[in-house]
Amino acid sequence: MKATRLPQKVGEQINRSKSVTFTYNGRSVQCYEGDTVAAALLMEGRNIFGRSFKYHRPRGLFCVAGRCPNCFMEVNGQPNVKSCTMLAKDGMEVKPQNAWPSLDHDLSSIIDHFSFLLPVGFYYKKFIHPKWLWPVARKIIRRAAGYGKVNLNLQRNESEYEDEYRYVDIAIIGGGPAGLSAAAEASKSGYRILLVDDQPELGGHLRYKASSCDNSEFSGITGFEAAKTLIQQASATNIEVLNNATCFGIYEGNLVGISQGKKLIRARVKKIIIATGCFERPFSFPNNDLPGIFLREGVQRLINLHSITPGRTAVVVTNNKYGSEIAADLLDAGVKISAIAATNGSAMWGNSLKTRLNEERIQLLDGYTVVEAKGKSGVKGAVLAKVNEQGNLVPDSLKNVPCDLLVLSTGFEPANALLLQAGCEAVFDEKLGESTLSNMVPSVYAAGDVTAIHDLQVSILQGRLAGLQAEADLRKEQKRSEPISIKTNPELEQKMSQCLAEVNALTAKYRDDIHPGLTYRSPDEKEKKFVCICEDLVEKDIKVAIEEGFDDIETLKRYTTFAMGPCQGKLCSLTCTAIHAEQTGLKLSETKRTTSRPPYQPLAMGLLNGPPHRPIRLTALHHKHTSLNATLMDMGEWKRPKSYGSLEQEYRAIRERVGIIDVSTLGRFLIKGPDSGKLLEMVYTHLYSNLKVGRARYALLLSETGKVVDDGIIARIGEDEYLTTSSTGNAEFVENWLKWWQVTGSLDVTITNMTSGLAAINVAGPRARELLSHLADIDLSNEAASYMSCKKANVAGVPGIMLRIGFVGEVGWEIHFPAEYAEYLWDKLMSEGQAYDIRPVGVEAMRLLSLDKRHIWPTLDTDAASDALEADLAWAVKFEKTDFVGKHYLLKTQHDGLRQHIIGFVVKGTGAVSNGDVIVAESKPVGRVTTAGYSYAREKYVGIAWVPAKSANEHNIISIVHDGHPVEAEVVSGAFYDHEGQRMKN
Amino acid sequence: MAVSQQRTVPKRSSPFHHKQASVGARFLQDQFGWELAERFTDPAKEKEEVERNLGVGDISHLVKFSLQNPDIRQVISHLYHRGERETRGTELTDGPGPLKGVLCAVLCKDEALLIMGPSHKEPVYKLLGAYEPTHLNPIDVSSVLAGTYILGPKSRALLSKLTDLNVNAENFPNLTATHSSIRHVPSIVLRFDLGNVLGYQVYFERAYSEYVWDVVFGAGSELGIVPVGFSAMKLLGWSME
Repeated sequence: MKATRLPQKVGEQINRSKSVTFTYNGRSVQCYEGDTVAAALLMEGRNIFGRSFKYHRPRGLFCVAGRCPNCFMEVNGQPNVKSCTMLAKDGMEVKPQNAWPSLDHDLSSIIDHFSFLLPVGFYYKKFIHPKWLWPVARKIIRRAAGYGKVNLNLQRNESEYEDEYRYVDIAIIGGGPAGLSAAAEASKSGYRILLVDDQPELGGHLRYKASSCDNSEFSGITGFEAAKTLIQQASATNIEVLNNATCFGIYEGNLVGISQGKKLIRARVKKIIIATGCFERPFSFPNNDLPGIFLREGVQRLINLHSITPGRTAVVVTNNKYGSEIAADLLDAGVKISAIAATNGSAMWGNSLKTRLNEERIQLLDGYTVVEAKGKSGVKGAVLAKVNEQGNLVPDSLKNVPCDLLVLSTGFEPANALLLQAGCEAVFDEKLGESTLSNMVPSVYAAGDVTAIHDLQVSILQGRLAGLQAEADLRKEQKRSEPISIKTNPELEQKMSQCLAEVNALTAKYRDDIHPGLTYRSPDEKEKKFVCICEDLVEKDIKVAIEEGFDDIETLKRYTTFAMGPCQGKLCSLTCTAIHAEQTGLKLSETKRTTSRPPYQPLAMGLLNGPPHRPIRLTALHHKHTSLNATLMDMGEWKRPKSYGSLEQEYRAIRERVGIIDVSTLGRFLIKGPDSGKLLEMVYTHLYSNLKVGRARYALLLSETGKVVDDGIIARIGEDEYLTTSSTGNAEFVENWLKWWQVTGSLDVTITNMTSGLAAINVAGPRARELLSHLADIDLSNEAASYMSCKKANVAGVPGIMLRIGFVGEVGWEIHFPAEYAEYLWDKLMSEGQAYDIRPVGVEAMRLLSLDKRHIWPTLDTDAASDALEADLAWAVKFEKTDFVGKHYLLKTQHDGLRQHIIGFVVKGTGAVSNGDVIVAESKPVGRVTTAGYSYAREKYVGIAWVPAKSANEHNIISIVHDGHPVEAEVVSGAFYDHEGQRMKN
Repeated sequence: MAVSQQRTVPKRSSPFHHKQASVGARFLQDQFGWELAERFTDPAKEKEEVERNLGVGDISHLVKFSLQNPDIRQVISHLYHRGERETRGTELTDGPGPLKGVLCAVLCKDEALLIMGPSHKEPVYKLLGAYEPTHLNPIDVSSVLAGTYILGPKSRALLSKLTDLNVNAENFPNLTATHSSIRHVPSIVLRFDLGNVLGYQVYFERAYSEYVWDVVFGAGSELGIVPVGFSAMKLLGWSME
């Protein structure tokens, strides 16, 4: 098969003034802008574009419309790209797939000779005896199966996928003549219209129809010209056109899913017009999968859009009027036609074409069909034979006709999957030889070839009618504030009836004139007759499966996997269903069809995932941290500074001088209102009714079953006003929890999440007071601002709240202030703090500092099974309160006794431990370390762990397994550093 | 806006400051300490770009009060001297006394958001505090919420890439407010046209600001989006000070 480029033609989609260069398997390929990858490779002489799924048979271009898997290639690392629809771009890297060492010589093609070992469902039946054989065979089969391979190492740009939304009145799926007519008509109403088409240009099949549009309002002009006129008519400003966009599903509530490259569009529509056209239907004969065998539409696309002839000598097999079109196109393109097998005769063909065929001595064989294709790596010839009215071969009618191009125009199948997804129903129409719609659902309309009527004028009229119907239904259902149409309702009704009458008349005529013709299927089983090229299924496979008992169409589909491949049944469903009907003694119109489910076309998982779903939160001091070269860490959505370079230096800054820590990620809530105290008293375990204004208290939050959920501080900043804090990761939960209990108790309280609005800096260390005294406008002496006090103050002129708390075990204040001042105040603190050798301190050092004080971090040191008593937090639980969340379960624990207990431990000797190390007793695991680290204060490893309650006594020795080795540690009570807490209360 | 070059008050930075600086913003500090992006290129050009395509301004410095009350519509109607039926979405700039120039968005049946320039803060807070007969509890959420002003004929197209909110004209007319999300960031969206220019104010938690900047400018790049300084916004008719 040798492709040639024709001189410039009207209607071609290529731009000959611009060239494009890409690589194929490392080799440079040049083509024109507008060429697809497949068209470019065809011009390079490529005949084989892929290898089949199971047998690795050579496959060439077939539909050239993105429906079959024959042209799958890897493009820029992405596998399974349809090269027949992928426009070539500069710099693209294209590689073949599913073949080794090359597409032309694939070693795996040897499988084809052993197909007897791989019948349908072989993985249920073969290679299972002896038992050891299956795991071996499975590995081999898995490696060999599939088309392309996903490259897990490929670097992807996470934000390459996009999401968009649309809300429109009418969505029209399909930009061919029916869709364009519907859009033109509906747009006159002023309604918002979305027109979705999977091609780069509108026009549908008219784009590649070079012949005249006879018997229509476009009689005498070519398809290209007709398309232009229809596009012009549908160019109103209330129509949004999405090209290269596929509607892949219709979901509940008229949600339409559309994929456009790497963009996913969710469209909520009120009315949907489906004008998706039809597919050409191949049929089965021996070797019907050879490269060089094309569907008619595929050849027309190549000739008229790309100006490429895919072969030199053609045989055309046809049972409809489009056979004459392709014959004319081939002749005009200079392709020699060896023979035309017109299965249902050529009576409907134009005389001028017949005359031309006669003059060129082209055999026009009425009543003939193809019974076999000849060739190995490409078609070399076709065997044609005459078929009588009983559907049998006429003896001695066989003709061997040489060709390198075999064109099939042998029937259609409406592309009605979206209609079926929407809930419409279809039945097989014996007269038309296709499925027709039997039941429509409200708000969904069909127009064009999808209705199984392949007549241009009918398509145009059906489109107009659908547009009118959608408008009429919309007007009935809603009142719009803006005037939308000059048409009155009576005018609209009249127009609709007129249109409907015309449609009915032409449809009746079409039905009368149609003769689908006989489709002969050869009984020859010597060579493979493919019925599903995606899954490499042959006719025999379907028959065998039915004989094995899979005689229901649904089980037959699942067992054989027909219609489950990349084409999703577009090319195989009807053929396989016809065989099923035949084998089960049913008429095709009686047999069930399989269900159509979205997606209609394969979708990349990345498209469904969409753009990154990870919003990032930054504190107002983020850029200060990055300017100090902090290593950042993720804490949920937040980015926090883990360290500024030296854990020990940060630790010592706090212990010996002063350090500052950005704690802005803590949850902060303003609780305001007459019932604020009541709410807090109910939700938290401690007493707050006696908390004075200007004082703060530890806050422990439990679940209703007494389990530790979170902790923080509650500061009373006004008579009915509290500032509550929570841990970073629990802020949203605590907000919802507080609101839940506020509503439950019908409390007069407002709860406002101030987390983002307040920056917070912890200034701590023996010299913290000195530093802050230079900046704050209040007395920070121990008498005026004692431990656990909270004061409103201006720090360097910035209004804030200063909480005197000691999370890290030194004198310190947590300053909460409006976030917009954060960088200003940080600069002031760092500048004034130079005199004390101030350091910024990261989360890692902060954790170590708090570990020194044996502070429990809820959700890090506790989990969903840890109750407050076992977590050694009994001191924060006030059972004398009438009630609080979790009280009753804690009372039960008190009564029943503790099973486990949290402890602090110091490692004996120089051993090390880590978070997560297991604690063992008598060689059995009995507990775990939750937090551990090297304490510079104790110069030993210390940690917090869970142990059985009986092992929790002070001075008890526990055994920890670290890196596979036992490490002994002693249980200690209280803090590891400054046991009495004097330093922080100073 | 009185512009001061001397730092007599502590500096207040917008959450977009670093993003603005990275694209060449020129900053000026106002009398409240806010360092705001005055321009990026030439204000007249920025205005043109907005009127042609799409621009995004920073309105994070505006004062915002959250009002919660079971009868919020009644309260707002009373404050704005309007009938309750008129109080459907966003009131506008012609409230009496201190409420002149104060935007009020009724977000749901018990919550409203008042938005104003910094100079209105004290008088409005006083007015709300003195409200009778119901005790109002205005919460200052000015620092909590960052704000962007999306302006221009392509604003709707931009929002269709960022949110599943139906922003069609009949569904979201001028002076409408609602909760929504911008690429998974919970937000409040207000439709507030500036004269003839289509406009949407979007408010969200301050901590998400840089992320929202990235997604807005990423999505808007094919629509011709530009950042817009306050000078250009004033040329377009913006007057909240």
